[in-house]
Amino acid sequence: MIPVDRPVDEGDLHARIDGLLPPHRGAAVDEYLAVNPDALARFSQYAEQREALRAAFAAQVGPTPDRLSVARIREERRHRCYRHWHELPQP
Amino acid sequence: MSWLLGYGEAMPDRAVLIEPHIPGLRRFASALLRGGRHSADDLVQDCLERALSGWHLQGRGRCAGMALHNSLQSISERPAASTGRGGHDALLEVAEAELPGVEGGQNSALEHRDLLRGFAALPEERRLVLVLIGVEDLSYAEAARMLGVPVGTVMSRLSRGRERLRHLMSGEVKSDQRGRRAALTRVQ
Repeated sequence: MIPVDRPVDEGDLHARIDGLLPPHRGAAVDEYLAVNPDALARFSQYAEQREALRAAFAAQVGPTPDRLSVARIREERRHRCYRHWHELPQP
Repeated sequence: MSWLLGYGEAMPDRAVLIEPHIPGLRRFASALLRGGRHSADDLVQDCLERALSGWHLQGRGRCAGMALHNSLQSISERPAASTGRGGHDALLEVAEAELPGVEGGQNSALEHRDLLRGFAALPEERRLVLVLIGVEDLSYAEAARMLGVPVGTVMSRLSRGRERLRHLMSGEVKSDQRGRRAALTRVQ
């Protein structure tokens, strides 16, 4: 039995650019975009925006600094614990 | 006592669980705070310190990621962390000098800065959805779980966020072109 497909909605179009569209919806979305040039233009811009945002975040955040490595944070904790221990009043 | 021998294996090293999520946490913190890189990294450091002391990561992979993101978000909600939540002007420093070796590095740095300014003008709930889905590649259901809202809410935030940012950026282009035209007429 062939399931009756629901009409294409905004969610499908977002899913298409996010790579989350189930394969069986692909043809319906293509058909929709072929006859809806406004939606095609708008979602092309969203797709560009998505890529631009990824690039901007990559540039904004940059490589992980040393102070955020697990090894460094552990090291600092050990030093802190050691200092606290030695700052305790001795009996 | 095989259960005892297996104990070490059953407890994966936290570093292995945590480390892969650090770049994503930094981007998430940056989207959350709209602030400079340093305040975002301070928040991530705070979150990692908690994760490495006494706090038990439940599950692996994306579950660990979810616990870290939730912890980061709850730390950012404390009054002490709110100093990083500045207005729109203290925004997102994309240092142009930090894009070496990129062809047209200066130009793309400026484009990034403009886009991030537009992004920072969006409400927090839309910023988080845009970054979780568009940058971190979470599915709609995963983003909904992480933010504790229904999938429909995620979809509507995504849709509104993208449309608003598109408007903001097209306004940016127009005003930029107007500015250039004005500059040209001044020259003539």
